[in-house]
Amino acid sequence: MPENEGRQDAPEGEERGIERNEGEREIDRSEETDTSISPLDEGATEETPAPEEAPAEETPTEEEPVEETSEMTEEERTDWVTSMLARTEERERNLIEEKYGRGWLGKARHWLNETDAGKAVKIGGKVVLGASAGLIAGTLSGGAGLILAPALYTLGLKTYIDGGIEAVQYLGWGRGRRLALEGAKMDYRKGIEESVRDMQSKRDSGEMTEEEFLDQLSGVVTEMADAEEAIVRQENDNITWERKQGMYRGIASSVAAVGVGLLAGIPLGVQNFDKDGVSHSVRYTFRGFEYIYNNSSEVANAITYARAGGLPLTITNSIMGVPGHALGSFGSAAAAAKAYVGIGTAFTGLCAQTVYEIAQGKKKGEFTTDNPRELIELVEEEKKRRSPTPEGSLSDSTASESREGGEETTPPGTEEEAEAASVEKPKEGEEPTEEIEKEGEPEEELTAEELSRFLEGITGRESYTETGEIDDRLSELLKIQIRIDDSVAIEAADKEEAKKKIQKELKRLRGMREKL
Amino acid sequence: MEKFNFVNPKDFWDKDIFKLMGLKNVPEDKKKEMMDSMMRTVQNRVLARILDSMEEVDVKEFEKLIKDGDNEKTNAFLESKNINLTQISAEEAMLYKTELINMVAAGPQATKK
Repeated sequence: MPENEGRQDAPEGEERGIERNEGEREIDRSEETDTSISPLDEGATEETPAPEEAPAEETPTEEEPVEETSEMTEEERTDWVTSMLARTEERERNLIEEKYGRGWLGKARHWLNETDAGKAVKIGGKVVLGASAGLIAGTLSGGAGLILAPALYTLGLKTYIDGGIEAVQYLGWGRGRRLALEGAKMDYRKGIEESVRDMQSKRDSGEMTEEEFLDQLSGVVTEMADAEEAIVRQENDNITWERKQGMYRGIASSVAAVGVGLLAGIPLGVQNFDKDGVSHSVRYTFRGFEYIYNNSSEVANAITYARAGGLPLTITNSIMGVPGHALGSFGSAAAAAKAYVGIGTAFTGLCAQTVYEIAQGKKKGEFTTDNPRELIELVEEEKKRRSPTPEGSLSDSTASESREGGEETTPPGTEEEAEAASVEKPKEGEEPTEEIEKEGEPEEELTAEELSRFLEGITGRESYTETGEIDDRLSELLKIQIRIDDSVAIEAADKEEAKKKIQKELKRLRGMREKL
Repeated sequence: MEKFNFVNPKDFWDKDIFKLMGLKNVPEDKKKEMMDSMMRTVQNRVLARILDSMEEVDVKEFEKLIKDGDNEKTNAFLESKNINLTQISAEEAMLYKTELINMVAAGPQATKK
C-alpha cells in the first residue's frame, strides 16, 4: 500500500475539499496553505491544535463563508473585521463600566489574565482558534484507540453540543428572562422611591397633611407588596425554567452527538489492521467502518494499489469533505471485536452519562415541579414584612382618621384584612370584643385589664360554619388591634405580646376561612 | 457560490476563526492583534456574565476578593455560587466565534444598520 496513505489523519484533515464526480474521479480544489495562528499565550499554544499541522485542502465553500464580502479584497476585509472587533470591544467595555463602575475592568483584568480565571478564559481562546476533541481522539492508536477514541470523541462532541445548547438557551431566552426580571425590579424600586420622595416632599412643604401622607403611603405599600409578589413569582418561574433546561439539554446533546458522530464519522484512531507497517485512520459512520484519507492523491494511490492487487475497494462519497473507502476486513476477529466494543462503549457512555445527569438532577429535586405553597408562603412573608397592618403605625393613623371622621376606613394590608375590616355587623355574643366595643360611638381607651381579659378568650370558637362569621371575627380582631395600638394605658411589651397573639389568631381564622 | 449560513458543528469546532472568516493571508502580527482584541471581548463577556449572575452583595464580595488577589478564595467563592468559569468562558468564546462568522457572512452592509 502506498506509504502516504498511512499518514495519520486527524479530524482537522477531515475537511479536505474533494469534489467527487462519478464515483472515483476527484477534483482537488484546494490551493490554500494554512498559515499559523499566533496563540494568545503559551498555555494556548500547547493545547491548541495549530492549523498549520493539517494539510491545506479545503473547499472554497467551507473555507470562505463570506460571499457577501467577496467583492472586498482580503486586506479590506481584514481592516473591516479589525474595526468591528475594536468597536465591539469598546462598546461592551463601556456597557460594563456603565453598569458596574469604571474601575471594574481594570481590577478584573489581572484576575482574568494571570490567575486560574485566566486559564479558564484561555480555553475560550482555544475555542476561537479551533480546538478539536476529534484531533486528540484521532491520534490515539492501537487497541486503546479502538476503544477509547470513539468514546472520547462522542463525549467531547456531547460536551461541545451541550455547551452550545446551553449558551444558546442562556443568550436566547435565559439572559432575556433574567434581564427582564432585573429591569422590572429596578423599575419597581425606582417607582416606589420616587413616589415616596414626592410624598415626603409634599408633606414637608405642607401640601399634604401627616394623615394624608400616611394614607397615601399605605397605598404605596400595598402596591409594593403586589409588585413583590409578581417578582417572587417570576423568580420562581425562572428557577423552574433553568432547571428544566438542564434536563432537555442533556437529552438533546446526547441525541445530537450520536447523530453528528454517525454523519461525520467517529474516529477509531490510527490502525494497522493488515499489519503491513502502514497505519490508516479509521472511522465509523452510518455506512459502517471506513478508512479515511487526507486528500485525493492518497485515494488515487489506494485505488491503484487495490486494482493492481485485484482487491475489491469501494470508494465512499466524502462525508464532510473527507474521502474514504469501506473497510473490507479488520484482519482479525479480535480487532473487529475491539472496534465494535469501542463504538458500543461510546454510545453506551453517552446514554449512561445522560441517564446519570438526569438522575442527579432528580436527586437535587431539579426536575420536579415547584411546590406552589412555597411561592404563596414567600409572598405572604414578603407582604407581612412590608405591610404596615395590622401592627404598623399606619393602622394607628388610619384608625384614628376613621374614628375622627365617623366612617369606616379600609385598613391597608391584605385583601382579606380589608374585606374583613370593612364588614360591619353586630358582634357575636361569645366574642369578648362585645364588652369593649360600642357600635357608632367613639371607642374608649383600652385598659390593661380589658386587654388581659380579651387575650384570655382570644381563641374564641374552635370552628365556624360560615365565612361571614369568620369575617366578623377578623374584623373585630383588627379593630381591637387598632385600639391596642392607640392605648396609652398599655405597656409597649404588653402591646407586643398582644399583637403576636392576635396575629396567631388571625392566621388560624384565615386558615379556617380558606377551608370553608 | 452557495450562500453560507451554517457552519457544521465539527467545522466550527475544528477550524480557527480566521479560516472561518475567510482571512487566510493575514500577517501574523495582525492576527495577534485581532486575537488579542477578541480575547479581551471574551474576557469582558465572561466578567459581565459572572457579575450579572450575582446579587449585589455578592458582587461586592467578589470585588473585594479580586482586589485582595487571593486566587484560591476567589475560586472557592465562585464555586460556592455555582459559577463555572471554564464553561462560561468556552460558551462565550463559542458564541463570539459564531457571532463573528455571521457578521462576516452578512458583510459590512448588515453591520451598518
